[in-house]
Parts: sequence; C-alpha cells; structure tokens
Amino acid sequence: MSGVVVTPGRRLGLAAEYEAGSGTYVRSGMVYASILGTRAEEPAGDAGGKPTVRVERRNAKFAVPAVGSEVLCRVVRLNPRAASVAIMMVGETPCQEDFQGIVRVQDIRATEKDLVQMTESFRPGDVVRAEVISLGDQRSYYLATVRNEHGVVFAQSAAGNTMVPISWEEMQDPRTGAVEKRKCAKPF
Amino acid sequence: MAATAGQVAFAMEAFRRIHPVEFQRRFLSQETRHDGRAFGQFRATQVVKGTISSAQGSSTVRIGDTTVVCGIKAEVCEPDVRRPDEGYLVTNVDLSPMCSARFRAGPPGESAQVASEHIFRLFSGHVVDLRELCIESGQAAWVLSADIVCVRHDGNVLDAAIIALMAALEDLALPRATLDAGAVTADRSATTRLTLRRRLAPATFTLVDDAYLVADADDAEEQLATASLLVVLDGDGRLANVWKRGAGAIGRADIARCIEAAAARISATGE
Amino acid sequence: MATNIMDRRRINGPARSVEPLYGPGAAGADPFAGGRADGRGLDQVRAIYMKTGPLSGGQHEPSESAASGSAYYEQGRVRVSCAVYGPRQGRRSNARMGVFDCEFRYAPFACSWKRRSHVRGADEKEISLMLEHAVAPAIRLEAYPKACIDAFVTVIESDGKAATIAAAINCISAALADAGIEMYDSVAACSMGLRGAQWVADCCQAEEDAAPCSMLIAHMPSADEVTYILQHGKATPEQTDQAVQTCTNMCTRVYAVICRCLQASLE
Repeated sequence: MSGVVVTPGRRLGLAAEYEAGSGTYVRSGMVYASILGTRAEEPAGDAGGKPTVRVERRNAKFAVPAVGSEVLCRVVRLNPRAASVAIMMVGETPCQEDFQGIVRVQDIRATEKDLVQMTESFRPGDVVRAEVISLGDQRSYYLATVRNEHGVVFAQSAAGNTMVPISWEEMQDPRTGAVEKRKCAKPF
Repeated sequence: MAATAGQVAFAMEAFRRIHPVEFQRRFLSQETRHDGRAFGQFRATQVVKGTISSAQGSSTVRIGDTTVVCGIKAEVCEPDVRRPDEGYLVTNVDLSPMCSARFRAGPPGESAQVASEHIFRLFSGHVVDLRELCIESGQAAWVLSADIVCVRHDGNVLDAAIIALMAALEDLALPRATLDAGAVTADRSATTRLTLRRRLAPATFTLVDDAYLVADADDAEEQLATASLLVVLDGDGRLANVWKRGAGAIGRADIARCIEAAAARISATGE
Repeated sequence: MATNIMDRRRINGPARSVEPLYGPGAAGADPFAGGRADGRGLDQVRAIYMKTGPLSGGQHEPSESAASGSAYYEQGRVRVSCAVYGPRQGRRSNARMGVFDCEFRYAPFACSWKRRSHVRGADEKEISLMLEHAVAPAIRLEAYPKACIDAFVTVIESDGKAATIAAAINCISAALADAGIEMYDSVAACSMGLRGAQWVADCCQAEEDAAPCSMLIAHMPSADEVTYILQHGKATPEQTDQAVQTCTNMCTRVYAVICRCLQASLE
C-alpha cells in the first residue's frame, strides 16, 4: 500500500488500526488523506501501538509560522519598544511571502530585561533567528530571541561589510575593525 | 559573505530567499546565470495561434515560464470625425494578481500602463493599416480590441506581449462586413486577413546589478535590473524600435551588440 | 449599444462600439433539433482536459512571486486557469482559522457575444463569492491560523455560464491540491439544463440559452456532502429533486477524472 499516489479525501484505513500522521485527518472512524502525495506507513513505535499512516508531499510545502516554531526574519524597522520584522523562513522551509512579526523589547533577552536597549540589539537589515511565542495581534506574530542560539545571525556594519560576532553582545567589522552592539545568536 | 559561511550553514534555498542580491551575484560573477543560461541566451519561445474561438484572432505565447494570452475581438463603431477612413486598434496589457504576487488587484499598475502604451504606439498605424479597418467611410469602421492577459509573470513580459499580439493579428479573421440601412451586417463564412505592414520581432536585454548585460531576464533577475533595452526589428532586419529604460548606463558598443544579438535571434528562430 | 468606460490608465477605443449583426445563423433555432449539436448523449459531460502546475511549476526553481499551485482546466470549449497563492499573510486575518479568498474574472475576449469591459462586473463579484462558498468547506482552514489562501481564476473562454462556474470550481480544487493545501476532499462540480422534462448535462451556451432552468451542484464525493447548489429558472420540486440526484452522480464522475489527472501529475 505504501508508495501509492493519493488525492485529498482518499480513505487510508480505519482509525482503529492506524495512527493519523501528517497529511491526513480522521473523520467518523476513518483516516483520510488531506493532501496530494504518496502514502507512507511507519511501524508502531512500541509493542501494541498502532502503525502511523501519513501522506508525503511531492513539493516543498510553504510554511506558516506557528507558536514554538523557529523562524528566520529580517529587521524592517525599529522603535524603542519593538522591532518590526519580516519572517522569511520557518524552520528549513521558506515562506511564500513574508509574514509580519514583532520582537518586543522585553522579549529580546532573558535577563536584565529592563536594561535592554533596542538600538543596541538590532538594526534594520539584520537577519535574526527567533522563536514564535504567540500569534500576536491582528497582523503580527510575536517573536522572542531570549535563547542563546537566537538573535542576529547576519549583519552589516555601517561601512557595508558583513560583521562577525565577537561576544554575545558585540559584532565586529573585519575590515574596518569597528565594533557594533547586537543581540548575537550563539554560533552553532 | 565568506566570513559568515561558517557561522550559518545557509541551505541554497534559504540563501536565495534571504540574500537574493548576493545569490544572483555569485552566479553572474562566474559568467553564468542562476538557471544555467549564458548571458546572451534567450529562453525557448513557444507560440500557439488561434486557440480561442470566442475571439476573432488569438494566440498564446510562452517565453520560458512567462505565459501571455492575447485575444482580439472585432466590434463596429463610428469612425473619428477627423479620420473618417480609419478604424481603431486598441491594445491593453493586463497584469493581474493572478500572474505574480507582485501585482495588486484593481486598475492597471504602472508597468501595465507603460506596456500598453508602448505596444499601442508600436502597432497602431505602423503594423496595422487603420484604413483597412474602414467599413464605410465616415459611418462605420472596425475597432480591434486586443487584450493581452498575462497569466504567469516570470520576466520579460513585454517581449511576450509583442510576440503574442503579432501572432494574434496574423491569426485574425475579420468577417466581411457591409453597412446596410444603418446597421452593419457581418458574414462569418467570408473572412479576410489583414495585410500587416511589417512583422515585428522583439528582444529585451537587461542590465542586472549595474554590471551584467543579460538577454531575456527572468523575474528574479528583473528585480535587480538597473536598466533595460528593448530592440524591435522588422522582418527585413530593419530597426523598428529601440527603447532604453532605467538609470543604469549601457555603452554604445553594447547597444550595437544587442541589436546584432536581436537580429541573430530572429534568424535563429527562423522568422 | 455599449458605452466603453474611459480610463486614462488604459488605451481607450471609441466611446461606443457594438458587435456587428451576424447574418441569419443559429439564432432562434432549436439547439436540440436532431439531438445535441456535438453528438453527445443527454447525460454526457464534454471531454475534460486538465493540467496542474502550468502557472506555478517550471524547469527551474520558480521565483518567489510565483503561485504556490495552479491548474488549467478545459471542458469542451470552456477554458479556465487558476493560480493559488498562499498560505500567506492576508489583509483579513483570523487568529483561529485561515481565510480563503477567491477572485473570478472573465478575460475581455472570453465571451462569444460582446467584449467584456475591463471594469470588474457585478456578475464576476457574485461568481467569486459563489466559488468561495463552494470550495471553502473542503479546505482545512483550521490548519492555517492567521494565514490567507487566495485563488485567482481567469476564464479564457466561456461556453455556457453554469458550465463555466462548474469548470472554475473544478479548476480551483485541482490548483489547491497542486499547492499542497490541506483539504478534506476535492470539490467536483457539474451543471445541467432542463429540456422539456429531461435534464441535459453540461449545457453549452446555445443550449443554456434555450433551457428554462439550470442547475449547478458542487459536491465532495468522499464525504458525500454537497457544498453548493444553485438552481434558477422554472422547475417543479420533483424535477429539482431528480436534478440533485443526477447532478451529484455526474459530479462523482467528474471527480474521478480530476483525481486521475492529479495522480498522473505525480507519477
């Protein structure tokens, strides 16, 4: 049964026999395909468990941010209270178009939140890795960069050169030697 | 960029998404393009004529992934009092949000207006003899409404639109019309073709990132364009139109090379 | 006499233009005289051709402004293209559920009678809403909070209004599947016209003009749920009941064709 191409709405099996994986849904005791793709099965993780049936997509899906997902975004503009960003990738998948997000000043660092200055954390044009903490208001997702591996991953100095991080709060232009302040992401 | 290479392992797709300019520069600086073409290479062009039976003339043109559909509807009107022996050719280019996420719904945007206007000036009177559209002097004439609908925008829509309009005009079958007691009667069984004065063939060259002159730019390359040069030749290889847009500078020698490349392309496609 | 609306953003023709009178033709003649003009049986739908991905895929990595899924659908002379964008950030947003938006348009040359104006007509707005209502129940919108899914439909050629709407629904379904949007089922639609006491499937323009009543049904066969019914004209309740039955059965046949095409697009 694996490897068969299925269309949305195709029955995949009984919910009593299968666990519904990605690309499927359950309705009145049956597991159905919800996307176009190929059927795949995974054996049960533990004895007595049910095997999982899922549908694998052909083409990369365009991502939508969800609470808890790690996103890559570009800083669009700043004000003392929040940075507006454009979310370009969710995990490894690019978004079809940018989603708007906001990093509030209290969500930048985990400690000494009251001392954080927006202009010492981000600059417009920086590429930032962050985590979605809530679906936010009407338009924007709320993001946070409190974790060590979150923060600025790519930034250019005032002279236009790509900077390298030299500490958790400073980046340096390798050509001019100028040091600028950022909330740096811990390099992997 | 080299400094950050170790910092973040950008997957190809991510790099393209986050640094489109750097992404293109990597290819262009190696004398190649992101889709593997050489700088002077055009994408494959496909022309299908006469696909739409609700229009008197029609064509579908694909340049790479760019797709436009052109349909010409012939209607009857009163000629302009200043030109009683002439009909009308009305050309409009439609760039809707369907063809690319860059366009918004509503009235035509700037690029659509510019394309419509330019094509109108290129064709009206120069390709179609408007006097041929006259049914009865001062009383009735044909108005040819040519609508060029872009269904997918992947760069170089102007070339596609010109090729599509040319093909649709060649496909156009105008019913024989007679003015009879104030009403125009047309006979679908007897149709005539227009005699086209010249057969236009376009070629667009784009200056990408102010440094690289490439033929037939696609959407990603057009985003970095600083200038573009449209060369339109007619069937005899004579220049019909040269149009340089944008602030980027294209040298005179380069312009001459572009004109040669356009002529070479036309003879290569066998037209 | 049609008055063309002047718009400085477009190339304008003369203020007034009309279709010429075409000599004595099919007008007024019974399109059913001696069976259907194209030789179809009364319950036969015109030949369907469908292709997914013409406006979104490509040999190379599609540009970021390209659609996420698309389909081209042909049923006889009805030709429809649909591009699906999203999930993306929309103007409207809902924190719990995604929003599905649809825009339906005739190309100016799509209709066999007169040229359509560039200005979006009331009928196009109405049909857009119909398509939204017909297709939205099939989409798992709860999987896309705050996001928007847009479908743009352009009719390249129309031949029968109800048939064109049905074709648009089928085309959107296919484009959504191509875009990888999570759905409960594909929606299949079919139209019929009344001829005497007999229902005739998938009427072309001439047949539709002669029919006193038309019926359009959008149906999700896997769940056996009807998402949209539109009947207008004159028919008895019994006839309408019968039409719903036959039309749903035809939808299932159309559905089979759509599913085969979708499967073939992956194989």
